[in-house]
Amino acid sequence: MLLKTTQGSMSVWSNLKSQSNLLVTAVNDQWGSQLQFNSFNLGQKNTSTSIIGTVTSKDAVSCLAWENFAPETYPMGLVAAGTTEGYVALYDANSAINQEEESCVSIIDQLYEGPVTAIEFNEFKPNLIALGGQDVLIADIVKDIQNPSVFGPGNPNLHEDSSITAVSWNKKILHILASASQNGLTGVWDLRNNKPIFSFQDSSAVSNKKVSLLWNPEIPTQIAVAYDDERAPELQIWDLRNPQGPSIVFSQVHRSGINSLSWCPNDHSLLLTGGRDGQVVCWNYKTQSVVSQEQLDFEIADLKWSKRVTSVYSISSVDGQTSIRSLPSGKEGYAPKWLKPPVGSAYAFDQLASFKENNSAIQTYQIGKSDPDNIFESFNAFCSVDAEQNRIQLEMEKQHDQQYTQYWKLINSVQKEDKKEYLSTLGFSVQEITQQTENYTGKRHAKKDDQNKKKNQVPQRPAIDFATITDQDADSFFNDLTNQSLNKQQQTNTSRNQDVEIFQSEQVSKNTNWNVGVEKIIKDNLIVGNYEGAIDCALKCGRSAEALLLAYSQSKEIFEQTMSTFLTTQTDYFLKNVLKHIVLKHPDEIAKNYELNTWKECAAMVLNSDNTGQFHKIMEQVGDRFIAERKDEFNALQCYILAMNGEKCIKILVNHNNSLKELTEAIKLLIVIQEYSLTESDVFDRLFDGLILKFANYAIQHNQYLSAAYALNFSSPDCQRALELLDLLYKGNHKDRNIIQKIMEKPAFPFKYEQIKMGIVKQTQAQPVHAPNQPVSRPTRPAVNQHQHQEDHNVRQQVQQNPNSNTAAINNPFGPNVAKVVDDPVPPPNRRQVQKPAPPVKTAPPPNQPKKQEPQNIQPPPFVQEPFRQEQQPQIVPPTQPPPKHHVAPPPPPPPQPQQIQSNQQQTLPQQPFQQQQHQQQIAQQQQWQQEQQQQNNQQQILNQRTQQNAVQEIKQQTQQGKGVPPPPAPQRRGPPPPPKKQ
Amino acid sequence: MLTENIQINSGHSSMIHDIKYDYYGDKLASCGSDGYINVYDVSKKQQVAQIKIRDSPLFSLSWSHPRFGNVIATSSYDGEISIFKEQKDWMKIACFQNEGSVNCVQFMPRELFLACGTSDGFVILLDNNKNWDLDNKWQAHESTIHGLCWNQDGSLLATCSADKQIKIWEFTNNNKPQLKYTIKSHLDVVKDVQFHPLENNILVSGGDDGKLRIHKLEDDAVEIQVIDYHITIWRITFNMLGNLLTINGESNGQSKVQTLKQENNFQYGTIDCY
Repeated sequence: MLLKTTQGSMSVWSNLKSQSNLLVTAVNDQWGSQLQFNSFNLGQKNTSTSIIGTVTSKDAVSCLAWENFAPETYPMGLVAAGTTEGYVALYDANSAINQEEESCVSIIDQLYEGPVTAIEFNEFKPNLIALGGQDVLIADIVKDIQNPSVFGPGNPNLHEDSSITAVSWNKKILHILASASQNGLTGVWDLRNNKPIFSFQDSSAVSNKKVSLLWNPEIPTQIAVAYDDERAPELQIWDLRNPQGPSIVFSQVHRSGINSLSWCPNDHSLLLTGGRDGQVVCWNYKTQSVVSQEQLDFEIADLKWSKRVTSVYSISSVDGQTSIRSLPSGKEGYAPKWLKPPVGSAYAFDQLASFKENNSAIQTYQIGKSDPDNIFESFNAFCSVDAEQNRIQLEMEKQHDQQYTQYWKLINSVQKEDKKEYLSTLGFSVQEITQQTENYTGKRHAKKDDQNKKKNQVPQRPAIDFATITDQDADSFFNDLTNQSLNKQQQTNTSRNQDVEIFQSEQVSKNTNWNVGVEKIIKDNLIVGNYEGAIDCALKCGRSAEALLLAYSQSKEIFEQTMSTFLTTQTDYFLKNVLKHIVLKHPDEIAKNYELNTWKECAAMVLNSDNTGQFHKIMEQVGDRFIAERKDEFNALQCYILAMNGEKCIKILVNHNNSLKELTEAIKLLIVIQEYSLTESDVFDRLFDGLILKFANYAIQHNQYLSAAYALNFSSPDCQRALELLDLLYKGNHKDRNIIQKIMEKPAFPFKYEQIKMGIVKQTQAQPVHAPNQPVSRPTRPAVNQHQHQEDHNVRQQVQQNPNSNTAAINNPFGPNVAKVVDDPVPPPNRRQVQKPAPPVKTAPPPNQPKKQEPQNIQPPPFVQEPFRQEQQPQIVPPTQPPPKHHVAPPPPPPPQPQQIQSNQQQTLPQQPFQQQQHQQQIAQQQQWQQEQQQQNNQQQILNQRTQQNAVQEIKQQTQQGKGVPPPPAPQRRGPPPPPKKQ
Repeated sequence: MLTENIQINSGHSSMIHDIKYDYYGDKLASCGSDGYINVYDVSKKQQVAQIKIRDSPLFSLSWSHPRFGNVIATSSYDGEISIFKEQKDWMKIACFQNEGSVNCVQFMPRELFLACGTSDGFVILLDNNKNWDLDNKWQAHESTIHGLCWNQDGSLLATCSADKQIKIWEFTNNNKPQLKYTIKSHLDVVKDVQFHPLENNILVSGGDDGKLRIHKLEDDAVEIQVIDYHITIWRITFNMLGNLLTINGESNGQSKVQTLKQENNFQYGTIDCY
């Protein structure tokens, strides 16, 4: 395919990775020559290259080379041009492109009297330049580029007086050089020992013919030689290990002499030849076949594969035009190497499959599970326990960080709903306190059932781990707190402010003489019946007990008023903020004002007050205070657990999932908290789903699929990602699949089934083919046909009965479940509105039309069958002896075709009878397919309906069970389970 | 961490070019130079289908999402893109003939919307909803497209090419792709490009320059890691959640397969080489 055109009678490509689209062409005219640096952009529509630099030579250029050399000095390498006047000019490509005045860095002259005909840099040591002319020379520019040392390859000169037409460095062994001369002789030189080591000659070669020559880039003992010979325009590949004759001969494609040869640098199987007949032929020497063949309308002088742009080559004509072309893609059988991935791999769960070149076996690898700190093992144990209580017990018995122990204790007490559990969790032992009280008062307070227990226990304050707070902080905190509470009182109790001030100013009087002082006033008030006056006086003088007694003897109203005044006027923090509210039965006020460091006392007291209905609310408030005042999430979370407020719990726990361990602990707590939470909350669901997905991802990454499935089971039913993962884990092929399927209900398919439509199908080659080793249960082909006819009939019937019904709307790929569901005595569901039936197949070939068959395509091109010319007359010339020209019989031809083709034919043979019916069968298949779709559609509807039924059932169950223990292991939250398994 | 498990006889008579597991990991499909797709049932440990597609090498295959059943798309060197569905047998549902080689195919995740990359640098889109008619075809690259990949939500399609570039095309509501990013950091042919299976904006690429590059697509494409692999990277494979990454490289007939493990911030470190 033609890409770009430019001028030039020869070309050379850049070897730079970054400048692969660069090409130098030599444009010769009567005044000399110009080297043009062509750049091209395949994406642009214009068909000509852009010239980005030029170099002028006063003499015509006869050969070209370009190699990277001393990149610090010559970042784009050196271009070497041999001229017709027998010298070589070296140009700095970079300065040529930048149009600097002097880009010629060296002239190597006095080489030949005639033209320089061949030039090549050594790829390993680019300071070595092999030259061809009257004889072979090597120029070494390593020491002084302007005065290089020039030497011959050794003695004797194999080519005698014949002119050199090609030189080539071995592509693997750096000191081996090959050269070819017009007399048809090819010689190989060992430059380390400076002598020829091998030569061969085609006896049919006549003088004055160009011989092209290249080493095989892959196999260092092979040389390709092409002859510009009208009678035998051949491409030969010689192997030095087998010197009797060429190993491979390609002939009878070019009609005229081959005068250019290029070995593909990107696929070493490919060689390109260009001939005087205008043909460009791409050969695959490994398969000994022609990959592509293109007839151009000019005589070809030179062609070169691009060194770095795959499939691209340049072709120059004898009349000085150069074009850039690409190998036609996709038309021929051989795919070039750069398109064929030789390695690849695929993952599925804990399996990796991998293939490598030249190996038809696919190696699979098992990726092991990992379980840091046995996190997943214990999580599975947690989830596999069948009741919440047992889960809690399990966690309480485990060694945890202290905070988690505390959380689980609290959850345990919440679950037991037992006051004593609460108190002991909070750090108070009823027994101990009772004991202390008894010791002090000498009077029994313990209830009867406690009396039998240990009595002589040493009283001990239970250790409670409170968050530490510095003295300074504590001081300012209390000041703030006091101010706050004072402000609040001022707002609420303004009516009594006056009284409060009066009462507060007095000292407590303890006069025992009731006839003097304030006591007399009290007595007098009592005498006159002014009880309120007496009460006020008593309060003011500190006789609180008397005041309260008096008030009690009067009305309830007076008592409460008196009590309120008494409590309000107290300066004692405890009395004022705690006792007051206990007496007044305002537990929420305690929560507001209680000192946070001892919040557990508060909790216990609220619990003991009659108003336990407010307990949860109050604990929530305390928790809120921890967050607001101290950002203390540990204590706040404890409060929220007691508050049974799932949303607030998760809002804290969601911040603590940085490590897998933390995340797992959080999930376990939340699984239980979710059960007891008094609040139904979307926020909780959303956050919990997020945590579950995060955990499931961790679990899957560790190949702990069971743990992932367990966790996902607790996600909310509207979390699509969780549903998808659960479905994947339930059905997916991994180590835990069996156990997951055993312990869990099959989740509903979380995607919408959709129909695949028929497109245009050209049945030119492809055939559905049976598996080579079919399962025994599979019906044979005739049986399938019969079956299809029956199904056909069914389809028609159904369509008649129900003209609006869908022919193929929903496609259930999970065949085996189908029968099970259909057998269930479920009434037919409402028909869904459905899509139109699939369009018919358009292009099944008529049965009488002969199909293109594989054998036809496999048939090799005619030349392959004749890979060796029988009249081959190669001659071996041992380098050191005079040539006793003897004929060598060609080696026996290889088997005409690889065995692979036979096997292909075998594979296609059994198809033959069935292909005749192909058209019918395709229609039958399609009808069958549509019918399957319809069945599946029905099944899906049934499934949908069943799912709804189950949902109802589930709700009923839930309401019956109330807050009881959910059925293990599927939690209530999970959506409706599938129908029970039929026996 | 990796231990050798069973060897599967692929049944191919010449080179394998691509293997893919289906959605649930039950079946492994392979395609190769012999023009066959072979399907192997991993649980039953047997080959269950051998489908002759073309007399031309198949370079790439893709399974559809299971909500459409078992559907495989493949493409061949001689330019046919074909779609097969498993009925009682595998049946050809649709095909499209391109002039030159089609080197890579991939279904958009969850959709029957197929993207294909050709040797002349075109992207071809085929759509089930249009009865597999050509949805769109445009010149994405100057030369051969070697690999393409959808991101997980189907909003982006990345293509990589012999023109050394990676291009990322955004699909907005009207489904007309817009070029959103061009990455030119590779010095040579880019052979494969893969999106992270969980992160819609993490992209890895590799090619002839022997470099694995990890990019993050934000306002611009930012390179976040380069791993020098030294030899041509042909294929890159993520596992299900992207915490493992396998690089498949080859040079002069020597293949090198390496699995990397994700560390922080989508940086990958070596764990296994075989």
